Amino acid sequence: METTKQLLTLSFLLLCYVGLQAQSTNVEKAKPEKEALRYQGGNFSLGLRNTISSFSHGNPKGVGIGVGGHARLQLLDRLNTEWYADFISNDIQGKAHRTDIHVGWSVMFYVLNPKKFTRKFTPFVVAGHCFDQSIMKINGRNGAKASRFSSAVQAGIGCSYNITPRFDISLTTQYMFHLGEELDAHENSEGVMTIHTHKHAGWEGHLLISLSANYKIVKLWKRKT
Amino acid sequence: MLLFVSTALLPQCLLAQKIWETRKGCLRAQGNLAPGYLFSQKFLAAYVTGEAEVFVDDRTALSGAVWVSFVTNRKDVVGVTANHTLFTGINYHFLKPGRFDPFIGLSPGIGLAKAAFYDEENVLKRSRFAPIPLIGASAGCNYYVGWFFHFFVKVQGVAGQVFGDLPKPVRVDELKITAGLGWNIRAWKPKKRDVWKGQSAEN
Repeated sequence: METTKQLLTLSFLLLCYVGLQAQSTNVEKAKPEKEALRYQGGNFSLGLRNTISSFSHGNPKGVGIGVGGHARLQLLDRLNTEWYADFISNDIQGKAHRTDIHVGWSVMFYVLNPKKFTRKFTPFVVAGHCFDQSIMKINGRNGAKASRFSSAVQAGIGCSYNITPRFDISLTTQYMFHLGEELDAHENSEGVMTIHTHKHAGWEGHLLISLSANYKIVKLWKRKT
Repeated sequence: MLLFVSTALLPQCLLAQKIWETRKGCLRAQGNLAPGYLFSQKFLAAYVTGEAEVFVDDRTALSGAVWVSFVTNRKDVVGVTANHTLFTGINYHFLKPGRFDPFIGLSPGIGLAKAAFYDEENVLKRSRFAPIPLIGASAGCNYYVGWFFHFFVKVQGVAGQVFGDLPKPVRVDELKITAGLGWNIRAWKPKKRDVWKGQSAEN
């Protein structure tokens, strides 16, 4: 009798457990319908860009021209990552020039839901990090030259115009802070330019405005339903 | 010769979709002699250029171009003496597939340039080749005549400046113009046709 009671209790508990499991499975199945935010994850796109570097290191006239490319790997509907390389050259008062090579990455967060990029304008905020090789040279065959390798962080805003869901044009404005020692060109009273290195110079950087064209090449993974 | 030509064109016949029906999957190429107007020295430079464009869908194409300069300035004057460039780009073809195909594009590039300058002793010297980043944007139009060739015209604006070992930077801002006869082949047959407004996919 006692054994039968124990068996009945055990069976009841087992049924309860199975029932709860079934209920929780139903809840899990129902969830994705509400959470439509991971469907664009896995989009891999390639882009080309031109960059204007302005206000370089406090010199508003030192506007640089840059060329570069990037790959974008989207993780969630509103979250994208960008892996880029840029080559920028800058004039310094017609007497020296600076070349910056940036290799880095950024995280992009879409402020509005891009709705699988059917929305025409998709604004985003962007922040990231890069490694930077800067070379400064006084113009001329025997001009002095100095270089430094440093790290930098950048942040800004941008907006993509989705011409088609796969193809977009993006305009991004970012300020980049260099974290290492500073390279600086000084002109003395006789008009002679010299290069100086300042250690622990604090924040110095430049404003980068990029115009890029991007195409979503492939979807690397699909979300399991 | 006829056998060779017909053998070469056989895959085209098999992949019968014309470029003016579906651009996706087509490769467009051209080689040409072309001029470019260098604003800084007010001179019409001459180039040999080659360009290829792959249509990843009906509206979008990835492109690459090479420009090799052979005349860029008058003799014995300061200014750009060589201006070779490599461009990559993305073009947007905004009309639905048809024989008439205008497009606009962003085409950043890298240049290899050198220039002539007077040194301190007033002797004309040439700088070494230096790499330069270039801003580029283009607009053009194709007209597909036959199923493997077309006429085209393209205008490209380029901005940049060369430093190298020059005493002063020299700008290479330029308007490059190219036109002529181009070639197009179908590289692959798309599994799905792009759908345009008011049109339904056939396969």
